[in-house]
Amino acid sequence: MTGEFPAVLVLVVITNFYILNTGRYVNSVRSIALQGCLLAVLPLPEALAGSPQALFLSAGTLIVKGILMPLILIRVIRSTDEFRVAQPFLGPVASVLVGFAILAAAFRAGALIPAPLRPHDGLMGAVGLATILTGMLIMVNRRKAVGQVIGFLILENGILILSLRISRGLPFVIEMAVLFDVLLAAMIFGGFIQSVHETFAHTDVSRMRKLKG
Amino acid sequence: MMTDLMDTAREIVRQWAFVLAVSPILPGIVAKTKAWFAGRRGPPLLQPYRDIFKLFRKGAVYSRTTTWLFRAGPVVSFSAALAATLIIPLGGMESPLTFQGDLILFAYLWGLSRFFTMTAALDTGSAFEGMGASREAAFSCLAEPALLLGLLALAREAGSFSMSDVLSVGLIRIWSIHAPALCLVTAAFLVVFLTENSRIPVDDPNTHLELTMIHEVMVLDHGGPDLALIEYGSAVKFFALGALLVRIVCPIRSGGFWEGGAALVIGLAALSVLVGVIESTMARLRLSRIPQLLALSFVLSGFGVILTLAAGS
Repeated sequence: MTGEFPAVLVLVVITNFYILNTGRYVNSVRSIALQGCLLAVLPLPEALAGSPQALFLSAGTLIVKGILMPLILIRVIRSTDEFRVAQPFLGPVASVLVGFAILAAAFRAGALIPAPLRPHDGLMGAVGLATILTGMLIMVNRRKAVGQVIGFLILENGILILSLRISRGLPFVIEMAVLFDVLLAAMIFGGFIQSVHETFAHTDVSRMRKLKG
Repeated sequence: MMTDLMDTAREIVRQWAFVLAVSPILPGIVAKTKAWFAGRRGPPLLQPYRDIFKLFRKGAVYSRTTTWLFRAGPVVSFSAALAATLIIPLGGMESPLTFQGDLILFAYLWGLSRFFTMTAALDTGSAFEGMGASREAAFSCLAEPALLLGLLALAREAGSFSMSDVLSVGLIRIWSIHAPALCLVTAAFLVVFLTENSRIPVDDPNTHLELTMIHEVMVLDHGGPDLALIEYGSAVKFFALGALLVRIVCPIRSGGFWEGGAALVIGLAALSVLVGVIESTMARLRLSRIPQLLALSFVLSGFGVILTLAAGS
C-alpha cells in the first residue's frame, strides 16, 4: 500500500456518510470542505516521488475544494433561509444504509478497475467509486438545488480520487480538475439563481408588506 | 481432571471477587467527573458501594399484579453481566471461560439480560414501563449489529472466535497492519458501550422525565435488594463492556493476574473519566436522532469488516 494514505481515504468515506446522515446543509458544506482538504493530501506522494505537477494539483485542490467552493456554498445557504434544512426523499437511516450497500458494492467492483501504472494500490479505486456513487445518491435524494450541488461536488471528488488511481496526477488531470471546477461554478451559480427564484416565490418581502394593510 | 476443575473454579472465584470489588467505583468516577465539570464537590467516590449496601438491607415491596417474571428480571440481568465478565481476559492469562464462539455468547448475554429486564418492566402492567421496554428493544436491535460486526472484524484478523485469542498480544500486530479498521471498530464500540450502559448521547441515567427515559423507566418499580442488584449489575456491565474497549485500545497484557488487573482498572478509570466528560459536554440526542447515531455506528463497524476483507483478498 505504498503511495496512498489509507487513513485519509477512510476519512473521505466517513465524511460521505456524515453528509448522507446530516439534515443541515451547513454541516454538509463543512464536511465538503474537510473532504476537499483530505483530497489535497492524496497527490502528495507523487510530489515526493519527483513530479512537481502533483504539488500544483494538491495546492489547487486545497484552495478550490477546501476553501473557495465551501465559502460560496455557505454564502448561498446563509442568504436563503429556506435552504437550511434538507428534506430528503429517503430518511437519514435509510440513506446511510443504502450508502453502506454502495460502499460494499464499490469494494467488490473496485478491484476490477484497470490501473496499469499502479497495479497494487488497495483502497483508492474502491473509495473513488464509492464516493462517485454516494454523490449520485445525494443528488437524487435532495429536493433543493443546494443539495444537488453538494451531491455533485462529492461526485466530482470521487472522480478526482479515481483519476489519481488510474493515471498519476499528470497535467491532464489538472486540466480535468479545472474543467470540472468551471462546470461546478456554473452549477453553483445555477443553484444560486434557482434559490433566489424559489425564495421570491415563497417568501416575497413585498407581499409581506401588504399584510400591514 | 479434578485438579483442572478446581483450578478453573478458583480462577472464576478470583475473577468474580475482583470484578465485584472494583466495578462500583466506576460509576463513582463518572459522577465525580461530572461534578467537577459542574463546579460541585460531588458525592464521594465510594458512594455507589454505600448505595448498594443500603439497598441490600432494605425490604422490597411487590405489586400484586406482578409475577415471578418481575422478580427474575434483576437476578437474571445481574447474573448475565457476571457471566459475561468471565469471557473477558482480565489479567495476563486467558480468561477462565474460553472456547470458540464465546464472542457470540458475550454479545448475547446482554441480549438475555435485556430480555428479562424488559419482561420485568412489562410484567408490572404499567403503560409507562411498557414504553421504556419498547424503546429499549428498538434501540438495542440497532446497536447489536454494530457490536457483532465489530467482533467479526476482530475475529477475522485474529483467526479465532474466542475472546481470549482476539484480545491477546496478537492485537498489536493487527494494529500495525489494520489501524484504520481498528479505529473504526473502536469508535463503533464506544457508541455501543454508551448505548448499552444507557449513557448520555442515547439515554440519560439521571433523568426522570417521562418523555425521555429509556432504561430508568423500566426499573422504576424495583426497590430494595432488587434495585441493588440492578445497580450492581449495571456497574458490572460497565466494567465488562468497558474492559473490552480498553483491551482493544491498549492490547498490552502484562504477566500476572494482579498487575494485568491493575492496568485494566487504570484503563477503565480513564474510560469512566471520558464518559463523564462526554456526559458533561454533550446533550442527550433527540429520540428520533438515536437511530441515526446507531446506524452510523453500524456503518463504522461494517466498514471495518470491509477494510479487513479488502486487505485480505
